[in-house]
Amino acid sequence: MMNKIYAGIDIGSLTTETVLIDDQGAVVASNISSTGPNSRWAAERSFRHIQKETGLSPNRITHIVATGYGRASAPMAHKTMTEITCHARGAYYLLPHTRTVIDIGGQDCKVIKLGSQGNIINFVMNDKCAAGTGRFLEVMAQALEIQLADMGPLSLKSQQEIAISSMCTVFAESEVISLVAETRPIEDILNGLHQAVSTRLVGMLNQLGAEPEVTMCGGVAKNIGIVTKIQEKLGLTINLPPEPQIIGALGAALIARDLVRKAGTHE
Amino acid sequence: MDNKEASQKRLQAAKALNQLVFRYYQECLEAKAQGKPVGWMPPMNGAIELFYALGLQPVFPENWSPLCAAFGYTPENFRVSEGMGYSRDLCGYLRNIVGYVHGPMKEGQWPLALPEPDLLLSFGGGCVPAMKIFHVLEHRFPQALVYSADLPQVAAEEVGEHHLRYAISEMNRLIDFLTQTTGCKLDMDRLKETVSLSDRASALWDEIMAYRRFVPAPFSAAEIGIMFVMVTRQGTREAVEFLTQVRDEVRERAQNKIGVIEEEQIRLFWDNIPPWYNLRLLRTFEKMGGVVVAETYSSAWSIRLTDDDPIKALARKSLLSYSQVSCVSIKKRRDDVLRACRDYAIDGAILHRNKSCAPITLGQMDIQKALEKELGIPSVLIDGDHMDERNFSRGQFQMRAEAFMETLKDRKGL
Repeated sequence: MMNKIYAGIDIGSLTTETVLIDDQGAVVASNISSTGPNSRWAAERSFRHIQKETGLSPNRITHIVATGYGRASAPMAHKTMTEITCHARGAYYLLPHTRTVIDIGGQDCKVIKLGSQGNIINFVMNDKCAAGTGRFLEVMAQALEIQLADMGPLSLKSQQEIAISSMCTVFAESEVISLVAETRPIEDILNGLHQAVSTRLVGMLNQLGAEPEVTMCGGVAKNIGIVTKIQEKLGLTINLPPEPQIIGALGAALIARDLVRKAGTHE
Repeated sequence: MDNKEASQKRLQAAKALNQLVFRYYQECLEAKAQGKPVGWMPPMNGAIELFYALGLQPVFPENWSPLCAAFGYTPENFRVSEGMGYSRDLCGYLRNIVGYVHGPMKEGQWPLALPEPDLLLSFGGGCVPAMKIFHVLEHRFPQALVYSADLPQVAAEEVGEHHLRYAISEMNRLIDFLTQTTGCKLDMDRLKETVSLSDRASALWDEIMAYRRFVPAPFSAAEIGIMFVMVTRQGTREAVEFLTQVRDEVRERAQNKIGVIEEEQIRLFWDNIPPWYNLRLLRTFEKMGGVVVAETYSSAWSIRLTDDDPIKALARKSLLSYSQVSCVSIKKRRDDVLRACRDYAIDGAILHRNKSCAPITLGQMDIQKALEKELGIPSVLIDGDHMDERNFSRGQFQMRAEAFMETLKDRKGL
């Protein structure tokens, strides 16, 4: 009997990820692409790429769950789930000792508290402002004319932390530009930015009463500067999945498998 | 399709409410045209019953604000008040009224409108914006005669005899002011009857709210607009007749297990004032099997007027009204929410972090922790504003609401 394939698509504000898993829950393929101006196109494009890469026809994929802000725009999805549920599912699957999930995505931060069975006990999100999110860091990288991927390693070379007082993306950008004009070292400015982002996030962790183990996912988990700051503040090591950006899509694919299995037991 | 299906399950009384709202605002305009004295006042105090007993016309700018939000009038009102320099961080009710009286009201551009006031009444004891609105109105309507009381802001459980004596003296001063300035005579029998009608409305209100403990709940927070009569019509037969109609319908629905949606799976509590510009948002929960069966705001209207002396009863009401919900200690807020969540068998609480109302929003973190620790009830924070849609993000709301429902359904094994 042919191994079934399940798909999860996470259509975020900045990037779209697709993950395929098999019946055993092993990742068969994954894909990360930018979302661009149209969520539907992003979902279709990401799905097309992964089919091309794996050579799988659409009817080989048993069930598809979409998540992320654009989840309602994925025409191929059989069901939609929010990214809270999907990130929790994906993080717990990979790291079953996880009791707290941090996800910093393109336009929001989430902290999810899990029970011992991976069930969601509670969650908090940032307020309406997108400060401290992936988009915030993108704007700052542009202002400093550096690559997003270089922010973390560069910040670790800082000799002195500069306080960034504003967390508003627009005001913080002005502050950064002023610091650049003062010829302050980029490393120190980055250190200050990461300090501000991590302080805000730790406030959310405290609000929820977060417990170890803590797992971080989302694109910002790739920023070692922020991860280090959060670890310092919490006084514990944060789990980082091998590819933190695909955890939402992985969770969606696992939920797709759960749904098929559940339906099977009802038949 | 969704709208049609949902509306079929709504209260029939909601249709009567629309007529009642329209009739009230028409009555306000007609009163002015006929030369009847019109007084603007904050809601939730004993002046309402006094006005109806004296045959004067009460107008409530605070009630006008939700109506503006529902009719889409607020952007224009906000544009005017912000143009005058009022900050977007201020209360939405204040900004809406200030903008309205300085802009659209002068131009008479909308079918529904407020008549100009002959009298302005301010009571004190409420939240700061509720009082500041009247400072602005005094400047805007210099011809209006002003009565200003300074009732203390006392927690309900702290109200003592000396507070009551003072409130009675302020109520008597108000009676003198109204009778002298308008020439109306106060008939004590008429006042007693008005107070009695007001008490009857409060008793009916309590009865209606109690039926929400039934599963499925006979109506949801989306229909809390029925409190319009508790704000504007206290002391009238119209309020009692309307609430009797609501009570009868709600009782019948409760007894016959008629809920708001086909299958009520999750019972929700809404903390803070709802977003008046879009109560349809609650359908997001309904589509996923959740019904908001109780809310913070509804307890504000339950003040029984049982004193034999009607003036004493109204004085007591004036002291108590603001300390019901908006001007209370964090502990009382927390206790009230926890009690409601127990009484109404709540599965999850929605905490509306309301940018327009700091007094009610304050303490929500404590409420969130207490709900989880003491009752094991999860909650979700929704950022928004009860008046200003610009402080609300549809996408964020949708995500949080759906994620919360997924969590609650998973907990119940649904």
